[in-house]
Amino acid sequence: MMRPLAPAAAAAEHSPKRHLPFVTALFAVVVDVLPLPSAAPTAVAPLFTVCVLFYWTLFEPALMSPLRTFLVGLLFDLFSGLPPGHSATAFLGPRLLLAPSQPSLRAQPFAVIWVCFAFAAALVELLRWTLSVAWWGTLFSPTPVLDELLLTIAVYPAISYLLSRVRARLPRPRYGDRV
Amino acid sequence: MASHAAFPSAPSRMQRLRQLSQRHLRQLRRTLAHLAPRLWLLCAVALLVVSKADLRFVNWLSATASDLYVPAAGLLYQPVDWLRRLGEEAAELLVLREENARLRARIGELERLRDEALRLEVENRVLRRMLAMPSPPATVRQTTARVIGDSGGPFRHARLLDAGSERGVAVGMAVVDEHGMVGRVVAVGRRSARILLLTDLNSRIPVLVAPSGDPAILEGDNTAHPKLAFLPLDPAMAVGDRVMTSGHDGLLPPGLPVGEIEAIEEGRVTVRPYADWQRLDWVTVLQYAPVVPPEQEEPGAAAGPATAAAGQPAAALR
Repeated sequence: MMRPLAPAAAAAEHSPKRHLPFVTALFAVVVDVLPLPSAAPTAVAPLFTVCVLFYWTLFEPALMSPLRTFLVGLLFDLFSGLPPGHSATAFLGPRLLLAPSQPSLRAQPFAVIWVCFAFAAALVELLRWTLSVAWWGTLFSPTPVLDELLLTIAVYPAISYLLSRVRARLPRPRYGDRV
Repeated sequence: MASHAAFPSAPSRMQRLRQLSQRHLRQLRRTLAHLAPRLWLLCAVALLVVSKADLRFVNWLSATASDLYVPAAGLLYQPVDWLRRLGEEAAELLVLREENARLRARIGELERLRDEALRLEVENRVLRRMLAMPSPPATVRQTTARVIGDSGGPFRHARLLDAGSERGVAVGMAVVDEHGMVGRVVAVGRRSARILLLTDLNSRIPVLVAPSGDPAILEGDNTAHPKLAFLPLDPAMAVGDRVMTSGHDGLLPPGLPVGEIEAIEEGRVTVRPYADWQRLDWVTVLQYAPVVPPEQEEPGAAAGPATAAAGQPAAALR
């Protein structure tokens, strides 16, 4: 039987700050969809949303539930004009694959986490590419996708550092802690 | 009685049922929590399949989300715009002298072209009057809009504008910058519109090549250089020839500059669009009244233009 929450844990559960991970993910979606300083049609940019989703799914999985990941993906599609469900599928797929290794991964040094992120981001890009090929029936060039992937992997340390500052502001005891 | 009160009473049937249902409910919650990622993944895939059917609800959802995005992007766009302008101004300062000389030469060339254009305009007007040829339909109105959203990936070359149906923007309208055509409107919300760039994989624009007059279709292929397809059997085009809209689809105004032929290699003709992708922050939506096919005209309305069109040459013959 599930034990009741301690008063501090109950307060943490009702704190508005527990929505911070979701808010940062929504912010990342808006930033991803903003036009680049170089708006050439073939210009690529890192996918900040993937960085943010990976970080919160790894360190605060209770605050970035599958429903929230789905909503972030759906909003990404609707804002960027992609078919609805395209990015939601791509964001949820790797989450499902990496879920069993999450608890052990959290305790690993940053370099290991970074390598795992590279693997997850590659899966996201592969899914996006495959879904796009299936949707439009055309073989897209993988070069811009690879460029986007490399940029995403490159910016992850910076995003991870910024999100760790946000995480420090989350209410303690952590959401999900029980007496 | 006293001995009976000393022991806790046995749970009633109702209490047992309640405990049982609570236990089942907890199990159900645990199972749902365990299955949640799979369920939402299934939902995402189902949504993707459903949206392939181009349902009205999905289009409405997309337009509403774009409308919601406009204010958020408006706020965040300011620092991005500031950074871009800072970079541009720094770059312009470095090449100011060369730019000045180039512009002076360009002014002389443009003045010559303007005189030529004025002469041709007069000549064109006189010839049209002599042949009783109807004037080409003019652009009704123009709406200037800001580009506030990118497609966010290499799969779609589209942009989001901060002008929608409230400002008269409609699907199919041409979008230009100060150099030439950028794309066309493919979806419209109340305060936003999405344009498909010339370079997108799904973009198809009927064009003419000048001076040969060869018709073709400009096809985007997700590269910076769209290609010409459906060329005539004996095309007479060369590198550097201008490409402009033909207006053959009845949706786009004819004569909009699109680009120039960049290369002709093994039957593949690539075009370099005139649009300045580096400074694509403001664009103009041309509110062009499309030509309505006769089968789509209302019976009452069809009589007017048809009679007028037919009447014009007849009057000229008389």
